[in-house]
Amino acid sequence: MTIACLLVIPLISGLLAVLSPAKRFLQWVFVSGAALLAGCAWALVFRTAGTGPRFEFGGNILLDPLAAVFVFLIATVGLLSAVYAAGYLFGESDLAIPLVKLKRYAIFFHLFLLSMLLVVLSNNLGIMWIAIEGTTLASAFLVNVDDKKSSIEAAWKYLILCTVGIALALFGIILVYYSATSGGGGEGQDLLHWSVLLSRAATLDPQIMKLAFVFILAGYGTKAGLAPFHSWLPDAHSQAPSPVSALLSGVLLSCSISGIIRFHILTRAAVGGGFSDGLLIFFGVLSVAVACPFILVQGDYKRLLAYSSVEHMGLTAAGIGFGSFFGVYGALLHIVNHAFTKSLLFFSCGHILHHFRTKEIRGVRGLLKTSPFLGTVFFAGILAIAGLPPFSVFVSEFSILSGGFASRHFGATAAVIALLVLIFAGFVRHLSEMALGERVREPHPSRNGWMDGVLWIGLFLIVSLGIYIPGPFQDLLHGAVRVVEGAGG
Amino acid sequence: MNLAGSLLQGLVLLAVAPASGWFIKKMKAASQNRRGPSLVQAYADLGKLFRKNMVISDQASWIFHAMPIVLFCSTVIAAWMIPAIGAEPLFGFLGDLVVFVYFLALGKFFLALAALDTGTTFGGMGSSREMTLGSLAEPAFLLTLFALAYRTQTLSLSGMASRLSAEAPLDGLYFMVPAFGAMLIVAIAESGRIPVDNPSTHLELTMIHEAMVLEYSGPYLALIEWAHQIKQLIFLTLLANFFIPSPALSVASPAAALLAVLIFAAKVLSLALLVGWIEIHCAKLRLFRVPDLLGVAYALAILSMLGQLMMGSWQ
Amino acid sequence: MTGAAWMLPALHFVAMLLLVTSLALIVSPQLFACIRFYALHSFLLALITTGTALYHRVPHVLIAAVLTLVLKTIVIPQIFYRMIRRLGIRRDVETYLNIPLSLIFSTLLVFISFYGVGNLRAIKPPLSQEFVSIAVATLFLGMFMMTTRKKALTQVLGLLLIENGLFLLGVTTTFGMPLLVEIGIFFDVLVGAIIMGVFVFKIRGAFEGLDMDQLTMLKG
Repeated sequence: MTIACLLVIPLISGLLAVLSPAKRFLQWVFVSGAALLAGCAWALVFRTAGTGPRFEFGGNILLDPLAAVFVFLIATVGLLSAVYAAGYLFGESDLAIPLVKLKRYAIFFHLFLLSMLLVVLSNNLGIMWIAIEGTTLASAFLVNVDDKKSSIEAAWKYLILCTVGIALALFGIILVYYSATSGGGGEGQDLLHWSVLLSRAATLDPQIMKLAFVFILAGYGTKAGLAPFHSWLPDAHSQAPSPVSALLSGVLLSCSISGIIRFHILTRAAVGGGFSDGLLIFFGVLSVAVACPFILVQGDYKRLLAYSSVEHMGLTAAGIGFGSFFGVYGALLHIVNHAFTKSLLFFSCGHILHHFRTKEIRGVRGLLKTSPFLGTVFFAGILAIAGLPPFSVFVSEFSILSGGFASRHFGATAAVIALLVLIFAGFVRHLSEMALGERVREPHPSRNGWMDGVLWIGLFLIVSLGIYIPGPFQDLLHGAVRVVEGAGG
Repeated sequence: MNLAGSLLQGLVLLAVAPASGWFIKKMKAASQNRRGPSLVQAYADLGKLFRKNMVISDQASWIFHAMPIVLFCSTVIAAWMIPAIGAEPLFGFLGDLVVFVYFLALGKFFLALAALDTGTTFGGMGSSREMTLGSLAEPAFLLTLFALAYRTQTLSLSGMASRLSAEAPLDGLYFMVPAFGAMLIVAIAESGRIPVDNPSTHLELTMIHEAMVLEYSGPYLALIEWAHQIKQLIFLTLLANFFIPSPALSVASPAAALLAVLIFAAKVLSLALLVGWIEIHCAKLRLFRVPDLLGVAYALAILSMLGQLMMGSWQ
Repeated sequence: MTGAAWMLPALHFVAMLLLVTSLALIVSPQLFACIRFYALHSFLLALITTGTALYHRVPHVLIAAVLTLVLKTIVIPQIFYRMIRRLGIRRDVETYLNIPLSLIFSTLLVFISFYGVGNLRAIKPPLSQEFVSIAVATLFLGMFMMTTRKKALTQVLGLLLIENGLFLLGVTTTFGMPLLVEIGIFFDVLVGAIIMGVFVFKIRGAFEGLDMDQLTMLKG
């Protein structure tokens, strides 16, 4: 099972989607491509979990535990999203879309997966940049599958803001490359390789690396939805179809975080601790703080979840910034937990939209009575994302916060805790509005096996990961923490 | 010899001024398939005006009478501060750059005052327009001069001209080109030529300079017109001496002086050709678009200055 | 390892023209002129790239120069021309600022970038510091253009201007990125321009116009 497989499968699936003549075949290609990818990814990730980093394609591709965590995430959430979309967009209901658009959706979906895999797997910082830009370009079409006015607006903002942000990141990468080439060393090509740079970190000019990190944090931070560069995020997440929202929020944001983590490691090696950590903590806490009021007064439940993504990305960034074992471990676990929980929530939003035909919180009443299964999943999901104990997000948030205390960032950690309490209150308020109360609508009889199945799996994941983390996965996370913290850390 | 050369230079400027205006007129006529006036006509017009009687409004105050003389004198003094054929200017001294600009401004100030003096509508309109444009053109002009002064490290006009012409052509290209653009725009604006003002029309909606001198006739008008032509020549001369590289001129001997006059004439004519070409090929801008054009001059001047700082920062 | 002495001043001259062209792109009131200025900008960029390659004897940069010439001076402007013809949009550019104000702000940005880079003593690129200032200035000007324009197309032009600035920075500080990365970036720019073109069409179809003023439905 080689890394090349991972990159070829989405490409082939996309190609087959172009060629597929009928809807059923397209659906089959679409889902089985994602399933095959997920299978390969799991096999690859857990087989290589114990071994050291693997390089391929002349060192341009690197699979280390850190990358493996993200590969696992992309493949798993990608599969869930594909299966859900198979019911949501390919189904017979009126949310379904015509064949031409389905085809476009399938193609760009797989290209999107490909570019995200490339982001997390690339060792070459330039290729990573290209892949991140690629994710923007591929997902812009996914955001506006339905060609509505509002989704065009969202997609346009997404395109423009992210492309400008990414341009800043390129500025940072050029600075890093300049610092590497002027640091005396003429291997040429390899000087943009993350692993090479890391081994030569002492020769990098600290001042330039600081400047470069600021630009890269702004650039990839735009893509990751860190405040104050997050303004595209609620629009894109709320306007995209639910399976795409799940993918954007759960995985795309995490991929950009992975880019930031790589540069964080590099910067810390070149500059020493304190600089990039401080910036990450600052922007992390700022993101939580900015998301908080929007969550409290939100009137649109998909935007509510989008702002919650801003909050959780902030938490992750802060966790990475806190830095001790618990902080980093918590942050990585949080990325995984947030991805599963948030995608589950977006999937159930797809259901809710299906039932209630509105994205407004006010329009949804008595969810538990209207549809007990959906209501339960949504109820559990919201409680989970708000950080209530039996669920997985609680574990990782707890770990991040204890990391914060362990690294003596008392002020920042206290602020985060206070904000989390507020956000929890906001979520519970919205949840009680939506889930409780009398039934206002007849339950919809149209049950879709695909879509309900995804909800079951998601529910299972968020509960089980909260109680028990399987051994291989634990190993993977520990390996990733070692990569972030340095071999000695 | 030194003083004689300077005097010669000053007189050449005064004498050539009507001819430079004539040249552009002739060029325009040629482009429209007309024959155009002969060279003699340019001087004959002035002569005719000097011989005529004047009609002066009984409302006119002393400003009305003083203006043509102040305008002419200040313009001539300004003209005598600039290098033309290689001789030391009559009134050249270190720092003459600023004084030069202010002498030009003094003439303009009186022109605008006198236009208001008689209380006619057109005069007021013309002076308000002239002052608006002037207030925009002057900073651009000063900035350009300062940009060049920064490069040459001198504040005297003749020093700047000699050092700029000593510069290796390619080295200075990056700041000379924007500076040239800026100064050309200012020259066109200040001498009232086409994209800014049309010298050959008396259309009330557009005219600027002509509106201010409508009340004048006879010798006063002759002085004003002549001053205007000298001002135009001043700008052409500055452009020629700053931006067109040429062998060093001197007035050490009559033969050398003759050569210098010829080279000077060639440089000025080529610039007049450029100005005429622009005049033929451009339409007049609407009045409220003129600030845009001067804004361009302003930006070019700043770029010329910044360019020197940037490019120089490395050495 | 440097080339003929006359090349550096010539490069300075082209760099200055590049700056002037960026300003022209920003203030030009007509869409077609904007695109022509963009093409000119890219052409000058290709010239500087070629000059750098020859001056410092780094032949692989020549490939980037050729790519710039083909892609940015010919292909992308042609895409824009086609788009404008097919859309039949009004040819004049609408801005939030008038021309003199834009000019003042732009020159201020040029000054800031010059000053900022000047203070950055850490960057001592082989081809003198002025190109870094100019690259950063181009970056700023591109952002300025994106924020002050009302139409979708001119925003895309601003983005391309930013990209040109980054390219200039890359070429003059590090002699460009490694070739693989460089080609990838070009590919991204091309695909990005095409995709944004598609979205311009969609905006046109859905909003009956290209004014960004109308794209204000999503808030909060």
